[in-house]
Amino acid sequence: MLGIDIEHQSVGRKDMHWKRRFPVSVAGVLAPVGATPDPPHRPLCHRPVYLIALLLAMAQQGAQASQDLTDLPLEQLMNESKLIDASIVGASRFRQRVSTTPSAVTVISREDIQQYGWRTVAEAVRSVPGFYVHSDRSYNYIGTRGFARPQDYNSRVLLLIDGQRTNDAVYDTAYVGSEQLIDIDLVERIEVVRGPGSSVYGGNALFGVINIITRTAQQIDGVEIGAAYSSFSTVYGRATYGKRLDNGAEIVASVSGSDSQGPDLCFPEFDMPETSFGRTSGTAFDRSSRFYARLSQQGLTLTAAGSQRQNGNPGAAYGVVFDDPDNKQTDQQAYANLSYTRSLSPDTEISARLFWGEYRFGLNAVYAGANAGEPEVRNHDRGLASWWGSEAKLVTAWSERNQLVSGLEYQSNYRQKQWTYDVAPYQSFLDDRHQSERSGVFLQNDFQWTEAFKVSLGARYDKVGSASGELSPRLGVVYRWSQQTVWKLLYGSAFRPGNAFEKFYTFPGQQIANKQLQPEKLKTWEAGVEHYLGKQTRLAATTYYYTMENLIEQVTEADSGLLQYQNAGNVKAQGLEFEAEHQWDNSARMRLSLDLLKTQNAQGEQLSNSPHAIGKFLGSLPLPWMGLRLGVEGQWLSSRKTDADTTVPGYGVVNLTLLRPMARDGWQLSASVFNLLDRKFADPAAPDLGVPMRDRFVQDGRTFRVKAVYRF
Amino acid sequence: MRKLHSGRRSTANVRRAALVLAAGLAITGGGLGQASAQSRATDESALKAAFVYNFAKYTDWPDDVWNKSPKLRLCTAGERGGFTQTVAALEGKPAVRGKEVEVRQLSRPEDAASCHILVIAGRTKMAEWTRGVRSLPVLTVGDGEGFATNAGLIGLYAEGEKLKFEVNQEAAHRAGLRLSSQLLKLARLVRDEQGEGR
Repeated sequence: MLGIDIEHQSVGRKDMHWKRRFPVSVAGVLAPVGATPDPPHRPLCHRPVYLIALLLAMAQQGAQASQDLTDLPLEQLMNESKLIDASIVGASRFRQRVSTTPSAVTVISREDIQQYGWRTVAEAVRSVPGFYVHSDRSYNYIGTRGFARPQDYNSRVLLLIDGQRTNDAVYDTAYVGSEQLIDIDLVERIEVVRGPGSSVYGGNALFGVINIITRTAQQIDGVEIGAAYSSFSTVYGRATYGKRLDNGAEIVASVSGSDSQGPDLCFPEFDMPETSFGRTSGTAFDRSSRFYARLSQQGLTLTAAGSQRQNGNPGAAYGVVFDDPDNKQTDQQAYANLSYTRSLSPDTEISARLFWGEYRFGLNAVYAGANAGEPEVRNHDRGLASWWGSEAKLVTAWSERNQLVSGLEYQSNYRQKQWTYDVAPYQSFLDDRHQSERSGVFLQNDFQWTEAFKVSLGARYDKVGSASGELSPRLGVVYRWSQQTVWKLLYGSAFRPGNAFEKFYTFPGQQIANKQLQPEKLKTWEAGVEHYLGKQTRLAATTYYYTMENLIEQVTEADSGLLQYQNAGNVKAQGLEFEAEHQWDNSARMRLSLDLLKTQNAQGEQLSNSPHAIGKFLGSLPLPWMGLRLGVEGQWLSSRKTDADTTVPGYGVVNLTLLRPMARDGWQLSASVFNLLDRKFADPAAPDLGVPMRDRFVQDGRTFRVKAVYRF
Repeated sequence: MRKLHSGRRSTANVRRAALVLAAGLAITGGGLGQASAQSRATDESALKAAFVYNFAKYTDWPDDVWNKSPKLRLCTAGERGGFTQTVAALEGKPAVRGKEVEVRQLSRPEDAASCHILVIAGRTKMAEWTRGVRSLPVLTVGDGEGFATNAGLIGLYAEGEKLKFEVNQEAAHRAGLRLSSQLLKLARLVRDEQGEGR
């Protein structure tokens, strides 16, 4: 309680510090928009009105310029057209239209990524209806359907790169922040399938499947050089090559890196004279580098990728010494993949894949001596996951009315290591080594009963380690009520076994193991309707209800007072989601969504870090000058409870990106302002016995980025 | 104290959210009026038809075939619906290399020999029609899944939010048609009954 009071008293001062840290005017960046920023002390909530007027004016003006499609050259038709009913592969592992998928799906295109200035997968996915992201300044975590446990390492969404699972084999994490494996500029599109996906993907696909599809050599076609500069002295550079040779072979190669000094921060929980009143600078640094290479010919594709990110620990997580830049952590990922796809007939395609992956985690921590005057203790905490595996898949339209997808998957996690030691004098606290296997078989058949009525029935059986097998069925119904209206029904079950970190990790004074952890199981019921108005407008509403049994949750173990992952009872939730999407003839487009949700933990209370309402707005407008486009992103989240029983207030954030799309001269330019209104907002923090008085992490205020890409 | 504080914040937030929503709705509303008049312009079928019109510009027919008719003969077959309608609407568009566009709806594959371009809509009758014009100097374009790997020449398909096309060069050789390198550069290249797929 005492800690919380301290936190509360200092909020005002923290805000002052934040203000002082952004003396840079963004007027220059904004000038072409025509909106002069308001004086700093005007009530913030008045500002959007100007924006609305501006957007409206431009939308109206732009909409008048309509073009006959046949006047456009082919290349422009291909690049600038947008199908309102997109095709996806991530929902059922074969290509289908969104309107024929029982699941609710959002496709994020490369144009969206450029138009809204998204720098990470997390920022892109945050735009999806009902999705939200929280950050503890180490990772970005994805929440959806009101579910985002503050102490979960992103293990409940499955992250795929070109259909290949990338969640690691120790922490099960989907890496979506600055540590992500793939540079965002190599992404052609991101398919976000909401709801359970275990019936085709097995573990982790509880709340969603995120499938990142990389650009092909043909799409890159040449050399691309990219550079960006953003707030906190952040520099970024990239070089990419892609070419389809005359013999049909395709080559893609890319390297990129970024280096950020990071913001100066103020943590009210350290507001004491001995910790410089909570202020820290030079500790929120973030450096990353990555490479990607792909070679393909005639259905055979070899891919290799790697990434490394090192960042500081500004908030002194785990109770390390505050404001010490020697506290840092490293995330390394590597990935190799050989895949083969072949059509046996126009109706049948087989594919096979051999894959390898590795993830290394390293935390270098500096702890204060046990007693005053004793030297500091340097501790290293390490994790290593290595795995290889193979899979085979068959997709066949075996009759006019039936489409079948079936597959087999095997993965050997041949190294699952976690170890912790003090450097000098050397003392080991944990040296945990495991190996495990997982295998699965799945079958799904889509039966077109009548022209309007489709039933999709599938199931997957998984065996993970020595645990008993898991069966994950899914039943979907798609009913095309009219040319414009599609009804969808979905029941799906999904599961997630406890991972090596949750089961085996221990750290003195922080966390103890739980080898008895049982898988958590999710059952979801969904009903949705999509209405296509004039093929340029899509309206959708979805309602869902889910129950989770045996929720794996970090709790305080009663006897030791230490943290432990346990099966902490059941969770249920329901929600309602509305979405409207429209594109104009002049290529302006917008999407609006609202989610209302209610979650309940075992005690019948709203889950922590679970908002009651989420609103989103995306708008992209062509401007009358120089082919410029303006992208506006609005995010609004209602208040959330923290695990300390306090509340972080709701917030609204507006991001603006002015884009000059890739033109014939080879240049693409953009300027972005994130958190334009400089809102102070915070995300709930996971309980940390090293920093017991912390209940939240304050997020960045207004930041900017300028970026250029040159292609030749 | 805390309750009061957060309560006030959330009212302000609700107001702000309402504003954001209102902005979006206003824009949607504003646009909808415009769109209903012109909504066909970017609908998928119209886009496909625009692709077909472009393909004509990038294809070389043997001289005798090209010269046998004063007009560019565009034929449609297969499932009747949006795609065949928008292709039919290409009649009267600006001439392609001196030839005005003429559109005919076919009902028998035997009639296709006189067409420059044959658009085969949908999947159900795809094989029957492509078999019917195999080796004839006819540019076949279809939107059924697997069209170009099933002896069709150019298959249209959706990938993400984009409309794309795949070209079967063997089929082009068989038909004696030359597709420009500009066209091939934009296409995914496939072969008969096999390919990269996805």
